Amino acid sequence: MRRSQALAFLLLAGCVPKMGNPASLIASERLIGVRGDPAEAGPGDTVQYTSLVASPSGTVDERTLSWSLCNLRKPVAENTPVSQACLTEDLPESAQGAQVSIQTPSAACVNFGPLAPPSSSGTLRPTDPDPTGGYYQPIRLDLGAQQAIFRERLHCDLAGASLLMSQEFRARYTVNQNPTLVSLSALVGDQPVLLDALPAGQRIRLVAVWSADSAETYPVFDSASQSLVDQREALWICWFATAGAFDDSTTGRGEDDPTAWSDNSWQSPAVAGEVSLWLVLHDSRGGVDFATYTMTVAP
Amino acid sequence: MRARASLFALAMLATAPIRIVTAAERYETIVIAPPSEEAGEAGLPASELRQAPGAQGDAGKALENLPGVARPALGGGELVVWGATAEETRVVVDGMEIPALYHLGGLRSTVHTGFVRSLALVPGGYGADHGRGLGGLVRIASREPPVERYQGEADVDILDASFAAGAAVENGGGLLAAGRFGYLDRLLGDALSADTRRLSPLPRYHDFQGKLVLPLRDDERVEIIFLTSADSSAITSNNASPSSVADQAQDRSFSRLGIRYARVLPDGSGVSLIPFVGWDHTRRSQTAGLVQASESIDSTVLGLRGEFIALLSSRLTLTLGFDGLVTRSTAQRAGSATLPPREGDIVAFGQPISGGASGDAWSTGIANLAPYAWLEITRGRWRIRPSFRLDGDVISTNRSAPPNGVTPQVGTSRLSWSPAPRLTVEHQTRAWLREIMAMGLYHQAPAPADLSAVFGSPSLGVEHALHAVAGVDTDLGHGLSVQPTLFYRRMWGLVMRNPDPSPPLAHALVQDGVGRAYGAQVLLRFAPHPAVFGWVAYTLSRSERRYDSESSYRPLDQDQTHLLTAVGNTAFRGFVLGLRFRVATGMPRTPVIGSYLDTTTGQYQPIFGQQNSIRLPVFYALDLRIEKRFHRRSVEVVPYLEVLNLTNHANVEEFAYDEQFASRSNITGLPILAVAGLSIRF
Repeated sequence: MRRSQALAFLLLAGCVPKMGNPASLIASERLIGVRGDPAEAGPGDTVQYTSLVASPSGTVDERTLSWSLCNLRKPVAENTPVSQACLTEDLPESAQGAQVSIQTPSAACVNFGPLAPPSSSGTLRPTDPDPTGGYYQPIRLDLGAQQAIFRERLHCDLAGASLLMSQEFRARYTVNQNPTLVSLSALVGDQPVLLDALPAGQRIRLVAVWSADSAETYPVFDSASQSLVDQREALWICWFATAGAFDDSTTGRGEDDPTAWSDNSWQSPAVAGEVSLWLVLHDSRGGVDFATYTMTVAP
Repeated sequence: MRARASLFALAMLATAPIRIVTAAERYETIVIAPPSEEAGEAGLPASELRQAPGAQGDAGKALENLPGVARPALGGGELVVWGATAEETRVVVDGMEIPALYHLGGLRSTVHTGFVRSLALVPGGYGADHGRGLGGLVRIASREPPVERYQGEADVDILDASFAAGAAVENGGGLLAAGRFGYLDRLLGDALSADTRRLSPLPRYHDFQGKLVLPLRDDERVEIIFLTSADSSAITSNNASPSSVADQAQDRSFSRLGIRYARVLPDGSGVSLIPFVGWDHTRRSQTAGLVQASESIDSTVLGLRGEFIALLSSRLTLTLGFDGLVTRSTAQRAGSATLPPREGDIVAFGQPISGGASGDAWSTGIANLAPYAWLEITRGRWRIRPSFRLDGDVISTNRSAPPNGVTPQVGTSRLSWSPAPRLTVEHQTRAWLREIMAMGLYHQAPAPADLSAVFGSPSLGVEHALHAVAGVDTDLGHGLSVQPTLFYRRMWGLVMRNPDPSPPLAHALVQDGVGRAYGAQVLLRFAPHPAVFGWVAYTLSRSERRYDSESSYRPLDQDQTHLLTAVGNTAFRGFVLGLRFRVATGMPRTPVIGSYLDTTTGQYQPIFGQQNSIRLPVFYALDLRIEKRFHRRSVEVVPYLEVLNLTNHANVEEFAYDEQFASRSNITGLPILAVAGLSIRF
């Protein structure tokens, strides 16, 4: 009873017609990024979280941001990263502020990891790992009427693997690190231009560079073949600006592409003035880095 | 008794006489209407269906014009009958079950119309000789080879090229072959922009059917029948970010080889037997952002259908039969458990796909062995057909739990017996008025794909349905007939996703689904003149599903409350002009009532409201078909033009949302589209 093939085609095609403001345009105060340090934590570990809130007037130190751990498991049927209940239920607040520290629940690998919850009615299904083999503790963020979810990557054992395989996995596994943004440069045609002297009404090529060690290699357990498969992180950048228009809201490199930079075309506004620019760099294991720039558009 | 025997001979040996009027008509009249015997079965001649606008001469495609058949989504090609999903409806060709009536995308049938003698859609309430499905039944009987010399036709249009040809051989035998080769992807692939090709996958398909008839003695023959079909389609994106990659590839093929033996005994009884073997293959791979999913299933099918018909008296006929199908499958699947989505999944167009990454490789054996008996009692104006089928289902898998280290895998196997009593009662009140009622129990084994210990559940059993149908056939004279029908279907034990956040191991799917479909349909057919015919089909229906633990139903994903199809054809001076007008309620969708940012990926995700509580706007379209027939000696040349969506109405096929799910817009279907073709018959 699979749903219409046509819908599957449409979903996969992802052909969302252009409408409304693109996500890259900051027209009002908006939470656009969260980074956890460390990027991967074990149960009981304390993680420092830093938020990035953008507004038309620049970065906002949003002290009213509310952080709540969500310990509700997602049903297999739900096609979202976390249970819809995490968004609709009242959750006790864990912290408040732009930068907070929260202790990862000791039962995180049971609730959201490979350890099946205890049950008197037989063995329960553990959470499926994501394509990178990862498990995540959801944290809900509330900023006025806005909601967001950050998923802290959990350091848990393997599920469904032999003892030998688990030992090999532990020996080879590299704990996730946040990627690092290094620089941003601008070009008009092939000519470099300074960020504080960008021409108005021009297509400008923005090039963001990340450190060479941002894309890490890590093993993933293939449960069907009962073997470890090495993968490399993909990285992508979400671009935000208070004016102008990007060709793509997101650009990046796949796991097979070792290039350590990504570029985007930005149509600068016709009117001179300062433009705030934010880059949020993601890796496929949940690591995040972000940077803020102020660009000046000259007449 | 002998007269009755000849009727059975006709039915069993499929030796319907071919009415040869002209060389051109000779071929076309082979497609004849099957007798309308089942309640709710639309009595429309396949020749009329074939000329319906929008079908491009494909009788199977024209089934969409029948009452009770939902309008498929653009590119869907699914046959949704009386609120039953396509997977719940069975398609049988000469007694051999095939997995799909349509090629991918729904552009064409998998069996060429030139190979078809009769094609019948029974939406529900059919007799005990068929089973394994909760929904409707499509019965296709192959046509006979010509009794002398040869016949043939060749068709070309922008979608594909096809042929059907037959030749008589010595001793009264014959050979028949038909095939189709699709080239739409090759023809339009380079002409379309890269974006359009990404969004509109053009399927590639071909099929072939062959039949060899070998008469043995009088009233005894052997037929060798071969069917094969293959499809593939792919879409590829070149998104700037790995988080928004969207690729899909799909292959599907099947083959069937059967040897049919039939004999009419001297006392008028008859026996037929068709053992067959088949191979099915499906493979799909999808990438949506960082989420991947792939599935491959290869099946070997062994079937046996046998029937013995005994004429006990002039009023009593007994049929004893056996209908068996054994399917042995090997499957591999990897990736997300929610990709592709199932009926009942809540998804929004453009939604970033989320899901875990799991893997499984498993094999299944599903055997349905069903003896059946059928009694037909004729007494005065009454005709009563009680029948009984006993479905024995053996369901086995080689893995009862997900792979776990070095733990040895343990398989499961179980046998269940499901009685399927059925009853049809007909009363001929007047020569022009017949009432017919039918009801019965129906059962369906789970699909091999659902028996995975990781993605489904190896413990799934048989699903069940109760059909009840009541209708009236009236022949008002002057070519006018009316067929109103009421129907009700209740289903239980349906396979659905496990809604529990902490389901037991190997229970990603559960059999807690309950469904019902009910409604009324009416078919008004008119043929006041030999050159004029048409029909109006209207269906009012509701199809709903829910979990057993829930108190309220939700609409089926493909539910359409109102379906209206009006078709009119007229011929003059060698021209045939046809018009079709369709109206259909939009399919249900789940509203997006909010959104949130998934800061881990930087993508927005929707927050959903009540499931399937809104609908796509009403669909309507006017289609036109014009053909001209040129005769020269024994050759007929028929160029035709079909104009779909003549009014260029922007029908909404899906809702789309912006990146932040803050605003909604419509994705519209086909604009006005002309399809030209040429048919040569000899």
